[in-house]
Amino acid sequence: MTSKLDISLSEKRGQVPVTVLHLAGELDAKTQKDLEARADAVIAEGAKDLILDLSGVTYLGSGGVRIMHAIASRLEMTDDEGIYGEFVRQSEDLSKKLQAEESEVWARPAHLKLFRPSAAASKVLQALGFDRYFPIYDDLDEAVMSF
Amino acid sequence: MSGTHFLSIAAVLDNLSEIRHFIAESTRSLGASPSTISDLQVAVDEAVTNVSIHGYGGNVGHIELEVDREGEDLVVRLRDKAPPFDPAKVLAPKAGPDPPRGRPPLGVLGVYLIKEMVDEMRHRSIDGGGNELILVKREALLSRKADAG
Repeated sequence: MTSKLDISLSEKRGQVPVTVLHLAGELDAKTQKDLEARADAVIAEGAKDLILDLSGVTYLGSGGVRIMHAIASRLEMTDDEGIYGEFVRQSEDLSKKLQAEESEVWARPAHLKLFRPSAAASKVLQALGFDRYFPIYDDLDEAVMSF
Repeated sequence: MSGTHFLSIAAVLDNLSEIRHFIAESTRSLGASPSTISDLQVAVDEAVTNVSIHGYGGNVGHIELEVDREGEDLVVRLRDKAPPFDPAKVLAPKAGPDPPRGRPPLGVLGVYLIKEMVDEMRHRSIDGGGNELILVKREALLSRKADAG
């Protein structure tokens, strides 16, 4: 019995193009790299605004939350006007970018939103205080239009 | 309704799902509520993840899990053979600017989560090597006892 996380993708159009990653299953220390790889791939393909649909997440661990924070940080780094823009403008050096990514910047992310976390996911987000960090939406259209 | 539930398994990330399943089944059979069950699943998952990644450093080592009731309390014991490590000591003050109140530093989310999910977390070093981590949900079986009357 190994942890299983299914990730499907849909594209929405609001004021800007928005990519939605629909997660179904367990997001733990085993599967977190699957989410990271998928998010990295869509960001590499040009996605600038992401929604994570957590309605199908049956288990969320701290590793999953950490990866969500990392994804938010990477998206901010692609935005010259975003919270990491200053770091990126100061230096194109990769180590500086990584330093920026790992620094604990707690400004709410502008390019990653969460959609309808399941009860299991909500409990962990709240316990860690991340419900006040990630913008969370119950309505997908509203989330799409928020970018 | 009583009796100790026991699982000995490799502390590897591939087994996290099975370990969470064991915690659900054993605590349910002891009469725990769905909320208590999910809290303990999270706490045990985080503890085993720490043992796998940090304790055994990526090498395969075993972990023993024991679930039992102590009066009205629900108690989970995790025993490993990794180098001595007390997770309670992880929460030492962190260098650098403090994060806003209520949010733990990213590096210690797992231990923070364990402490949020249980009423008590105790550690002791095992004679001859290894660690025992004891996780307690207090009065988690109170309603069950009342029902049994």
